[in-house]
Amino acid sequence: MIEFSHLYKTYPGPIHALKNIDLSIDKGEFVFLTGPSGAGKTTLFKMLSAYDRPTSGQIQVAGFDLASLNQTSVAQFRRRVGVVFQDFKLLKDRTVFDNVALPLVVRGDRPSHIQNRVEDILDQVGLLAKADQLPDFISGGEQQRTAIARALVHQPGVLIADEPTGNLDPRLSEEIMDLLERVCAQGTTVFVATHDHSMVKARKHRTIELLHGQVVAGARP
Amino acid sequence: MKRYFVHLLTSLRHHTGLVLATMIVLTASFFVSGSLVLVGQNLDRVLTLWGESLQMSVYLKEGTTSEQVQALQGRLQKDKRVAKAAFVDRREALTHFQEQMASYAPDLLNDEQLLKFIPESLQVQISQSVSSILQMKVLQELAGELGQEPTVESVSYGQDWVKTYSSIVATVSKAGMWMIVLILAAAGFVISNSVSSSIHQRKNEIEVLELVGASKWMIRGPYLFEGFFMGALSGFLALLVLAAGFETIQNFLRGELAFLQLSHHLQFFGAAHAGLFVLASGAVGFLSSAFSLRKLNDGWAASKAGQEA
Repeated sequence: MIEFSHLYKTYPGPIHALKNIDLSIDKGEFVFLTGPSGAGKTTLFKMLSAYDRPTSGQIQVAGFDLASLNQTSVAQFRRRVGVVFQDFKLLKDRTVFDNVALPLVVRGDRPSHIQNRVEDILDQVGLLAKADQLPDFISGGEQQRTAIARALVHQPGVLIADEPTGNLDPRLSEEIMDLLERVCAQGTTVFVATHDHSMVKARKHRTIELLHGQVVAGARP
Repeated sequence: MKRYFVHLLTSLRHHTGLVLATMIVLTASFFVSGSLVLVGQNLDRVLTLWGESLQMSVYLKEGTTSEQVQALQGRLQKDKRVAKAAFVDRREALTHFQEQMASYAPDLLNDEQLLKFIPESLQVQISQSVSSILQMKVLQELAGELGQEPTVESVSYGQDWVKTYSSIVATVSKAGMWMIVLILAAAGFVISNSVSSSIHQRKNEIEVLELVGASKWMIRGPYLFEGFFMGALSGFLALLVLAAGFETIQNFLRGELAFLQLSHHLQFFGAAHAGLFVLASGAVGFLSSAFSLRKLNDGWAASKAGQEA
């Protein structure tokens, strides 16, 4: 499902953010990505979500070669994955409902389907009552859950999340992790970058550890 | 379509001042462009009316037979450029000449000797279907062709007056065209600036839309619509101001300057031309937006924004 091969990412400087990453993640697998700050977690997350392109090497996700995506195929790829960004990337002038509905709107789904599906996912993340609120008028945790709902609403084959429980209290963090595990159980590959070691230990999923831009543990299942 | 109008209203809400200033500048630009087109169109009509008096005298050689005259006249009447080709014999020409000269030289009225000095001629009138801009060219062409005829002595068509008249029409047309091009370029720049500002203000939205899989045209569509709408609405407003101005001028021509009898020759745009004017204004807006959008989103706006930061 996800395949990294000799992947490098170098920023001007040069800063070698990722060096020779070789990874393989199976369909329906739940994987944690951990490592200290500056280890390259966010860069790897960006490569995996097609937010940015690698300097060299290959990434195969759901049949797409992310290193050579063109303008049309990058849009198609992004419609098939769900991404939770660390800074949420919510549109401030649209309601929670409209933000969550975005992936379905760009896909051209029927309004009645969008209505039902968005209400369903908002109910799952406990935000149905806040559907008409603007992001600036809800808490950080609620914004995070809105971002998670948006990443799940179109039932993606791969879910990639950067610190999805970073702003949540322990009870909500558990609920969100339970939700992600339920999604995984339905066949979605889940890839979670996190600092939360206690959660990683408690959940007992495969854990890939990065250090100085290289994989130091968990490269193979 | 709802998405496009929501986008438009959001733009208006976020930078009301800029949108209104843009609309005012655009309305003024389209008003000036429309005025030039309207003046050009009506000047052409008035000059064409004056131009109807344009005619050439084709003087025939001594000894030209009536069959030859008829043959030449017949050929001219079949020519699409010619409205009328009337034969004027010596007697008729003399009478006309004497009438014109009577007040200056009364003695000429009884001078029958003049008859042998006056040639027979054909008075050729240019067809109304020839536009005022082309009249000079047509007159010169026709004079050249007729000058080659074996039965024709000379051709006269008031060359100096026609040249002046023609150069006025050509100058006004050229100057008008250039002014319109300049004004539309300026209008395009203003729209492009407004759309660029809208894009800058919505950078985050463009990134997020890209990241959830919106296609290039899904992102660009609302901005193109914004440009088209601003252009078309400004064009429509300019048309309303233009109609009010035209009516005022018409009233003035009917009152103070009634003796010129111009008011019934002047015409405002018809429905089709008015519609075309609004559409063309919208097209200017659309193209200006397209120019601003040419490098907007290639699928990697978010990563570029990250690098800029």
